Amino acid sequence: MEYIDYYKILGISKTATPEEIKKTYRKLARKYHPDINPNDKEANKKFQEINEANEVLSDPEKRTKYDKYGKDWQHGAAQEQARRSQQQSYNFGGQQQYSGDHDDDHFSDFFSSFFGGGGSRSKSKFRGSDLNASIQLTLTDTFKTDKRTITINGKNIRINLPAGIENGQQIKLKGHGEPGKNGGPHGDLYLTFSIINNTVFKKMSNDLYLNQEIGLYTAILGGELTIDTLHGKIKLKIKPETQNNTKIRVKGKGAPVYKKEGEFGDLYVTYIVKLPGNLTEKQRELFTELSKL
Amino acid sequence: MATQKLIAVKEFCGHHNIKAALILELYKQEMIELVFIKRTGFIPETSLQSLEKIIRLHQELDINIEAVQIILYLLANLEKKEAELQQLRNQLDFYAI
Repeated sequence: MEYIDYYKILGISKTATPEEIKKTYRKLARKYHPDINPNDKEANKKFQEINEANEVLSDPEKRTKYDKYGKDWQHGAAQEQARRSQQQSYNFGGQQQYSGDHDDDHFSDFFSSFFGGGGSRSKSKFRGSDLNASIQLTLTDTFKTDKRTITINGKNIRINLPAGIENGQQIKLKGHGEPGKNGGPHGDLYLTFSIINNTVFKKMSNDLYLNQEIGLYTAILGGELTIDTLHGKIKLKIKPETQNNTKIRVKGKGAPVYKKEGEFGDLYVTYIVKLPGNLTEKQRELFTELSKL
Repeated sequence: MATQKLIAVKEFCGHHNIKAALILELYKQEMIELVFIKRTGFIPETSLQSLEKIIRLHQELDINIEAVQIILYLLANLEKKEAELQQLRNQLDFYAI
């Protein structure tokens, strides 16, 4: 556990007046407040640091104690611990000086050792920090609405995954973030989805794209082809003289539209004409003949 | 017909220790929605989260309502740009070999 320089955190001198501390704290809080910096872990961390610095430096009693021991804080903490133990032994009712509804998670170990727990003086309610988590899904998972149970900070949360979630999409679960301070509301949980493509399709928005090989003879003479889609097998008619890279659209056979039940994008199939290889003598003769026509 | 959950302005103000005049001011500035039933103001549950955010910015950071309005506008803009960026990233993945 390291000594924390609260003056350095607020960027003020050791002789700063209470007004200067208040002004600087306000300025920094406006910059790093979680509402102004959603999903920014660094800003949230910084906000907690300046909060803690303000908790100490704006309280004359805490500031005096902090200034008195300074870097020799471990000695001060030990003395403080001894003083508290002595005080508790006098309090037969078991009252504790440092009780309160604060949340110690918002304070550093240094603060807890020095001052014996979270701040109890401040009456400001602070919203808990937002949490960020990522979930990996396969593309197939996103084709149907599903429910999942995820574990965040040891808590199981049942979530609904609507079909059609996009890669990188974020959903907010209100009130599932860190608990608030001094009775403030919980933060939110932001879940970001990372989608791994486990299919033969490529996806853009709600449309799916498929490169489908067809033989030379089918391309020239036409024919039929059966392909697998999300919606089962479908039969495609290939027109005679179909060119390489011809793209066709199959309406409504794409991916589901997010939060629009029963709506789907389209499927685009690009025909890749595959030329025959390892020609037999006969085939070579016939191609030569064709070329002379 | 869908039902709507409502919270009485009076109850909300008591809980957050704020004056009802502030809520009315936010309503006048079109920053929040209010529902009036028999001349009593109610906050729709769907507006609660954004209202609490406005209150936090106003009270905890001592920011005036006009500035809060600008912050909310900029945050919404930022969110929109981030969504666009993600969409472009996905498109780039589509064309990647």
